[in-house]
Amino acid sequence: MTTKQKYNLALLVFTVPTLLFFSVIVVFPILQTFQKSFFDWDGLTPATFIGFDNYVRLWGDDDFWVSIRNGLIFALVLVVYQIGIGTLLAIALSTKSLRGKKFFRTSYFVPVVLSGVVVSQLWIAIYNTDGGLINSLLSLFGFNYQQAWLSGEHSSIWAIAFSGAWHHLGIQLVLIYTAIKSIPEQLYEAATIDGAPFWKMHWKITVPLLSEAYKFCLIIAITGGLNAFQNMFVMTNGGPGNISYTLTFMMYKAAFRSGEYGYGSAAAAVLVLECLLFTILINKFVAREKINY
Amino acid sequence: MNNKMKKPALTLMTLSMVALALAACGSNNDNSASSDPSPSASASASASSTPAESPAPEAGSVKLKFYAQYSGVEIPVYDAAKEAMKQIMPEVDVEFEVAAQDDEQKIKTYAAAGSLPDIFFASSGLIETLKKSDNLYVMDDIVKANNIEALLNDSSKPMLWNKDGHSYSVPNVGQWAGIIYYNKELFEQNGVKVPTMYSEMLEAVKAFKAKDITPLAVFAKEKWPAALLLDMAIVGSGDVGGLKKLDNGEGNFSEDAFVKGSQKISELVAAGLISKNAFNTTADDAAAQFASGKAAMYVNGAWSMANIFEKLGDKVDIMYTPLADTAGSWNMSGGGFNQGFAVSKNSKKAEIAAKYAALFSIEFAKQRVIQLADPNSILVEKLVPTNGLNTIQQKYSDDSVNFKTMTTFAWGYENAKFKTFIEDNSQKLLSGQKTDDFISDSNKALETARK
Repeated sequence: MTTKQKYNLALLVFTVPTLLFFSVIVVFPILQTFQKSFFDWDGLTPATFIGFDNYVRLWGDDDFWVSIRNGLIFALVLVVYQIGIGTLLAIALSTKSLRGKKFFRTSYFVPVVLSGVVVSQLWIAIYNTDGGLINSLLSLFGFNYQQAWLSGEHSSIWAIAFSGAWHHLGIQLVLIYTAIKSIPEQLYEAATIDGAPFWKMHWKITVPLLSEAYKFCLIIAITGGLNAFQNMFVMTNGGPGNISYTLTFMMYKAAFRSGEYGYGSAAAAVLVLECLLFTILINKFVAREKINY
Repeated sequence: MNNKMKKPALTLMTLSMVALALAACGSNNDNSASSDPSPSASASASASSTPAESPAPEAGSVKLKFYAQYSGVEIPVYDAAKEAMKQIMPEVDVEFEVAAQDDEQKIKTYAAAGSLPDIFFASSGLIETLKKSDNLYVMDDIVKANNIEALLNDSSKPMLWNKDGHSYSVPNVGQWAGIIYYNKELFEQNGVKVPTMYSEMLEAVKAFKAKDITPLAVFAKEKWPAALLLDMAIVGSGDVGGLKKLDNGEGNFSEDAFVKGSQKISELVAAGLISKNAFNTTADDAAAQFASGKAAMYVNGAWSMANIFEKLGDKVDIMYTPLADTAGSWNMSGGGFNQGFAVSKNSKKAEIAAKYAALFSIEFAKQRVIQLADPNSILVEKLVPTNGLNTIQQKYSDDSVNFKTMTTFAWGYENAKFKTFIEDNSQKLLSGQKTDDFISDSNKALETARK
């Protein structure tokens, strides 16, 4: 056996099982979902082929547009909070003069290890209209702005998205922090010698050099936002009505509550395409060139 | 051993093993046949031998899986019914699996996977779904052979039969109405008249709101209470069919009673009917809010009378139709139809399971009266509750003879698409959606649901 043949054999041994495994548990169900989206099927009786009818129905369904809008809002909140605030915190944590770094690092990561249900319950209490933390604080500081945070048509999805963003901030923080730590120290030393102010130094050095990390973080945040389900399931059950629906919730409702698996599959197919679209766009426009130090 | 000897020796050994295996299988079959207490086996056994000679079925030899709401106050009811069944069908032993509160997803998944439990609780909606997919055992013969209909009182007999004329489950509880509980003490202290009709209800809501007391505690995190309130308003506005009528494929939301009912809910909501927090309120939270005096009224089914009386005692009373146009209406919201313990058609012991399910339903109904003081027994037999009926249960028991009509709770709707959208839309109405938008959205959704 030649070296090339040995190399190819090794490649096959290592990749084929993984590819098979990935195909069986990821690719096949996705393809199956696309296939089912062309059928009228209740999950129990034989399915009837109806072509693109489910997609046409989605187009005219109010729930669908509410779900798309809510998914985008959720993604926006995750991007702004987890990546924006995450970057600021990561810069602060990487500053040499900061004391108690370990404590802060651990504190920001603690919510990540909590279950989604626990976090949702915690935020239900915080958002409670009668005596919840936010309304109590507003009242304490003299603001007459008592809100039904989780029931308001305009506040609900933002409130739920913020709880989701808070829950997983730690993961993005760790990614950004690790990326910052990998930036060569001499770049900062040179900037300091040149007299660059602290924020300008990070704006000109840290942020551009984080672009590859940001690419990954953006994909996680945006697809995470579009896929959001657990938070609204526990906090509002999608309601009141459909105001906190996302595509995932719509898929759940169609398949499990209405017994319309074909229609639910169409919603799932749109979700897959939406996530794919954003992933392609991010890959195309963010960190197109590999950074070499 | 040389090569010539090896071949015949191996052949002999193989044949011996096959013979032994066949003998063993045959012996197993014999055993299983003797332990199988199926009626046909019993029948043939009794035909060939005298009763004294026929061996009694071994106690607990038939194991059945029973998917049920084996939780909370109903655990002792299930346990007592199971104990009673040991006298009637000692050969059967059931193992309960606690039903998930999951919009029947788990049981539907069992059905899709072909692994339905032998016996399970099925609502009207689930019966329709499982009927279409041919998963339900038709219990007509069992019901007739065991004279089940004769055990049920007149008002409960229709619950035994599906609209297609067959029986798929034997009812285990009576038809509860949806009612509004109220705190008598709060009404007296605040000088508010107990509403008997809509105009008085609106006044009461305004009066309590002005005193910073939540008029109505509602656990709107669950979707059905919003649908119940809307149904009460529609029934009270002149259409006794309520939302059930639409589920049956008749009418639409533009009809007078539906528009008027929706307007009533909008008006009450605008007057401050519910807490802003209602959509994050669970049943326990709402009950606690009512019990602590923070809310003057509380909406739920009549089944929670024992629980509420335990918390509030003589301070609590019930009202039936405070959303009706006139006082004294006995057209009720709530109820249910053909629902109860059903049997999987694919059960290996379907016939035994069906007999057990049918008789268990009767024992369950008995124990509900004895242990939980059900005031609306489905049985002809008069039973005495261990602790007697409390004040509101007695009132309900006396008044229920006057009930003229009844609709159904949301889980009784047969059209799953209708159920889903009406739960969502009525929640929206309760959260302050304009009536015109509600009517138009609901008509559009109704059209889709009926396709």
